[in-house]
Amino acid sequence: MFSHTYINRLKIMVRQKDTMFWSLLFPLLLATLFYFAFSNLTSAENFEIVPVAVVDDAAYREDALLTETVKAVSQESDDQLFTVTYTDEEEAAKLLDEGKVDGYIVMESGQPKLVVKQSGINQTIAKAFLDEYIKTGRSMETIAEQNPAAFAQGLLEKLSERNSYTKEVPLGKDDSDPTVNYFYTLLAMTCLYGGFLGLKCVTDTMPTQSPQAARLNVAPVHKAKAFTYGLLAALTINLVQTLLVLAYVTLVLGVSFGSQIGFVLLAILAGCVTGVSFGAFLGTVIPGKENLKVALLIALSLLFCFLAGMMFIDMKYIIATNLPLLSYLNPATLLTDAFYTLYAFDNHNRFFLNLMLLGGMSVIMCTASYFVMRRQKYASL
Amino acid sequence: MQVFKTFFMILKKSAPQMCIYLGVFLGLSIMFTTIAPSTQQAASFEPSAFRAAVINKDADGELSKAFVSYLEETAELVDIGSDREALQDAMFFRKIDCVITIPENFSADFLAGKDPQIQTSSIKDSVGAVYAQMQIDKYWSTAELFRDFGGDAAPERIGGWTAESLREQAVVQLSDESVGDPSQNQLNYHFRYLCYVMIALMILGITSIMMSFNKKDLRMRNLCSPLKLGRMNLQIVLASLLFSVASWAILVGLGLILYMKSIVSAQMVLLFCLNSFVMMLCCLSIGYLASLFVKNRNVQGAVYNIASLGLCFLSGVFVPQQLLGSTVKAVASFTPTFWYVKANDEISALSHYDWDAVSSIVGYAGIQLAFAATILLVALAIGRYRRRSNA
Repeated sequence: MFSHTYINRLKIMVRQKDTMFWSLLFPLLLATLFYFAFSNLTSAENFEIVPVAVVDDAAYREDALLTETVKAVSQESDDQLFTVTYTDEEEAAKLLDEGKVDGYIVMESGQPKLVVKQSGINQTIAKAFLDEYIKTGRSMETIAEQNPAAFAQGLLEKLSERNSYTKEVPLGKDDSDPTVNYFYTLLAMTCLYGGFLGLKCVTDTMPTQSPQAARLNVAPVHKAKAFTYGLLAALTINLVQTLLVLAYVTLVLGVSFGSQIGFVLLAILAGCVTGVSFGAFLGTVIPGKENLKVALLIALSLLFCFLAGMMFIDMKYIIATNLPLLSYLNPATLLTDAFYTLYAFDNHNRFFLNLMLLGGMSVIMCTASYFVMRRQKYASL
Repeated sequence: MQVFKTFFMILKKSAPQMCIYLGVFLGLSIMFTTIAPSTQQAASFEPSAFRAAVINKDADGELSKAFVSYLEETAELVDIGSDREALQDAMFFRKIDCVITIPENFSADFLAGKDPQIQTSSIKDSVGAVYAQMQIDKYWSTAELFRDFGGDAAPERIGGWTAESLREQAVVQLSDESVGDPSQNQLNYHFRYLCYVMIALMILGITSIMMSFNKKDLRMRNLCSPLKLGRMNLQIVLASLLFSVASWAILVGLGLILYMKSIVSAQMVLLFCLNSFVMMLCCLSIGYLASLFVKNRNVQGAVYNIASLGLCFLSGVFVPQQLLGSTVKAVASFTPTFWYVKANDEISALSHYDWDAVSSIVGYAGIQLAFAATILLVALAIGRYRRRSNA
């Protein structure tokens, strides 16, 4: 009995071309597009050596401290700040206008001045460098006033020393890449799209929904059994689809899901159960025809994914800090967060909290579907 | 004009679906434009600030206090608390560039010459982290000078001198050719997303209609009517043009009303309109080409989603073009949307409107026109081939 219903349900669902497109091909396609569009995204925040020009006139050469420090920070090393082009003012302005340099340094009445085309982080770094130089001059004056003997005590040697006063202590993964969140939400979407399959089960079992279901209703089969087997078939397909998407995203596109594959699979199982129950829940609880339910399913899953950061990555953080309750109620966020905790943290507290909430949601939705469907009798269909 | 009228009667049926697109688009446009700060041509230099969370375990230390108030001036301090996971979250979502932890007794140890260290946790290799590092080192190297050579001064005086030395800053001048960040103009955002919704709308609209006209029985019935095939096609073309121009006008009009404040000049609006109009023609051709393959609603959903999302992700509609990898850009240059976005970015960066500045934009519009013509020709050829092989 079980194998008969289960296998035939599998066949019916696999042959639904549009469902298969949305729940398998569409996530694969989106993953590919995400990969191409976002592969370079984080490189924008990486520090790149700032190209600057220096107007190399007599006034500049006279200032030994400045010439030496510029030379020091433009030497090839791990701490290199600038690549410097020495030139005259006209040429420097031209380079700036063409975007070859981010700014140029020119001496004006004994003080260096920075000329830039726009505000930005590279320009700010160039300015911070000049600030440092000006500060040094300023502090030497103060010291000379307070302690004229300082020069004899080795002030100048001290000035040429470059010390670091910080120690880098990584919080967790120090090279974490926020774009993985896009792929996590995508996997969450694939799980939630399992709802199409759950919904299909309802349509084929609830006698008011389709002629097939009405026919099934007069068959000598226990309805709860037929429905449960159908849902199991839906879960199987959804699991296979999600694993395919996971395999594609990790093996082909090289997106990191951390190293705890067992926990990732557990999260996917929880996600698929939630997805299928979500579809079954919508199918039974919402009155009306299938089209309306499908539309609602798409709209809700997309809304959930949007709130989990699929279209706009900051969304997840905004919701988590301002409306934390919503994060706990949104299955897409819970699933995304489960993947994220595996990627970023070294303990599993938050991971299991997410999974427990997902499990609780599935239990509630399945129970509700059961109570709507049980003991229904029809005078006419 | 029966065909013309029928066109719009069929269109009415797809209206709800198209309205959803319009709504989603407006939502997207409004959301992204409100998130993006509106910066016009900058009048003066605004230094960027790095964002940091500070954990001060040396709350009583004089110098540590002075250091925190220095950070308050130079950095954007975000209060997150000291929960490690919360800090990690904030760093993952790039709300902060680094976490700066001042260890216990830092101030006293520093004054005693023990060389204690500030702990930083930052995003690896990020420019914000490099800048933060510079600013921290600058503070403490100055404080060290005063500690060693200030003549046994009290910690308050060292802090005071340091703050004073750091207050003086370099002069920064904006060159005459200065520009604001072009990608941040709100109109630019609106017109960029416009491209997405136009592709989706046109494919949806045109395929819905052609699906009906191309139904085998209906088509055979129409062919034996006294109306000539040429006239019938002409009416369809006119109706599609009217539909496209009307949708374009609505979308552009809404943008201009919503972002009136971002309008820099009439020339800029004109160029934006020209560019999007050419793109509209492209979308129309794409819609027509798609209609040859769309036979039912399911295929339609797949086709317009693939086409609109694919073109927009690859060519810089959703992700700014300067952030795309070079291979992606090379591939994307074979799509009309790439040239649309490129033109759009250049238009919003323009500071004057002579021929030299505008010529490249007109060139990009020309490329889009060529795309529109090519796609249309391909579609016509396929259509003709099919008619022949069916006959």
